[in-house]
Amino acid sequence: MRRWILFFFRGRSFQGSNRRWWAGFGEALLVTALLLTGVILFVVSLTLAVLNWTQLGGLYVSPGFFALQLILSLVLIGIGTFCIARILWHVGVSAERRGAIATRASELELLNEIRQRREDLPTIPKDPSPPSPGFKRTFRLTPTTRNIWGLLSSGCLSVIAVAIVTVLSIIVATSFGFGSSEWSLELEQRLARNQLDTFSSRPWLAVAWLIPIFLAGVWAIYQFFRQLMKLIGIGPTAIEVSHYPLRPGESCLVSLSQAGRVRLKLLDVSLICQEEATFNEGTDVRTETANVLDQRLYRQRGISLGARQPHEAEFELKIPSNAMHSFKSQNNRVQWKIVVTGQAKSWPKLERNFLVSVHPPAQHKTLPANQTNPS
Amino acid sequence: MPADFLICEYTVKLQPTHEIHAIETSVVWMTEGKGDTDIGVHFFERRQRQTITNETFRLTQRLSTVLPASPLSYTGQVVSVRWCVRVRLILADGSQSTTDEFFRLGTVDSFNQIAAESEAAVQEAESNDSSES
Repeated sequence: MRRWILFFFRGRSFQGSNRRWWAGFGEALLVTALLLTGVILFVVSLTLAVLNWTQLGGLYVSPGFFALQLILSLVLIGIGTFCIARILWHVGVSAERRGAIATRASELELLNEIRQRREDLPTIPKDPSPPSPGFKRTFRLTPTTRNIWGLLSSGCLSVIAVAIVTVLSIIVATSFGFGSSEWSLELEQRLARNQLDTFSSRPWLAVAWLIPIFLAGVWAIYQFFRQLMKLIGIGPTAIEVSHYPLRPGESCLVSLSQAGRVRLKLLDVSLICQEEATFNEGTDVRTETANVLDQRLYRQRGISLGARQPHEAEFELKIPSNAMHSFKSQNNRVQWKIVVTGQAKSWPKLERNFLVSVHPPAQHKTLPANQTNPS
Repeated sequence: MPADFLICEYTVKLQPTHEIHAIETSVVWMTEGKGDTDIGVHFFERRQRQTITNETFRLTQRLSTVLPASPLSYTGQVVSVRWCVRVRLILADGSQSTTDEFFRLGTVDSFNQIAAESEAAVQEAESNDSSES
């Protein structure tokens, strides 16, 4: 009991990853509860307003009360959304990155040089998200999109499910007289009067739908909560490289920074070269991938991450000599990426991908491709 | 190698019964492997009948172009890239005849080869260490 009291008042009772897990759990639970309460209140007040009900549980409900309820629900939804946005900002953007953004303007020329160089290289894919100026090394690689869409879709789904369940619950509750203060007595009287008529006039369709939609809502809320926990618990991964783009045979220094609030059992960083071929098979379009190179760059076990104490490491990356450069055509692709994977107890698996552009070995100056000399 | 001049000479021998409509010469790269084939044209020249003379069939023809920096020739597991010079004869009756001459651009090795070489290097280093000790 004492450790629970200490946890709530000082936040010291639970040690290490346990405390961080409970902190993340509490934050995710609070945000989810705020949002759900807001949505339920909003739907209840809208439903009652649309149906023009002024009696609720035997009490007279004034329009002012409706308005108050509506405002309160919107405030709760707003606070919940703000909390999620704040979590996304703090978890998604590290302090170093915020610092690097401030110096970005002065280093734009460097990036323009990269863009210019790429125009002379046909079939070398453009970076979907070009690197930004780094904090420790020259360039900070941009990770491929994180699973924000999972959070948003499960959030929207749970909001819709909760709204439907609330409306159905109101309909069912009112038709069975649950709204009155003496609903059990009223139900008994109704059943005693004319059972068949009473039962046939009940909205059984609404009752039948209520159960599966309720279950779907619970599942959606669980998924939303899980995604939120994942976002809160495992923080951003930053990869910075000493030079970019890379070329076969060249080495570069890599800085890794992994933030979060968990204890990682294992953290791996690998350099992967992946071939991808798309082909038509009948009416289906299929894609086959093959990892032709999987080279481990870094491995560390038992890492304790703190919100203000990210795990940092430096190591060397070397693109093998005579290796294929990045390549992209309509149906075929060769792509290089740095993959960071991690595993923490009771948390979803961490996997972050950073696409790396590998150019062909430097040659003497090329002429434009259309400059030809036919005899 | 990229940025080098590619010079290709070819001769066209035509049967007396055939009437030529056009000659197309091109330098292309194409993908091979599991995926659908992609083709990129680096150089293309079409000679219409009006510009084709008897000299065209008697003398050696030449095309030259500066090779681009990419894509380099590559043999992978599911994706390969090959370069070739292609000469296409289009006859007056609509039939065509194509001749491809493949060449390598760059010195890219397959990853199997890279892995084998690095393994051999490691083994050599280990054997050197053991002989020194």
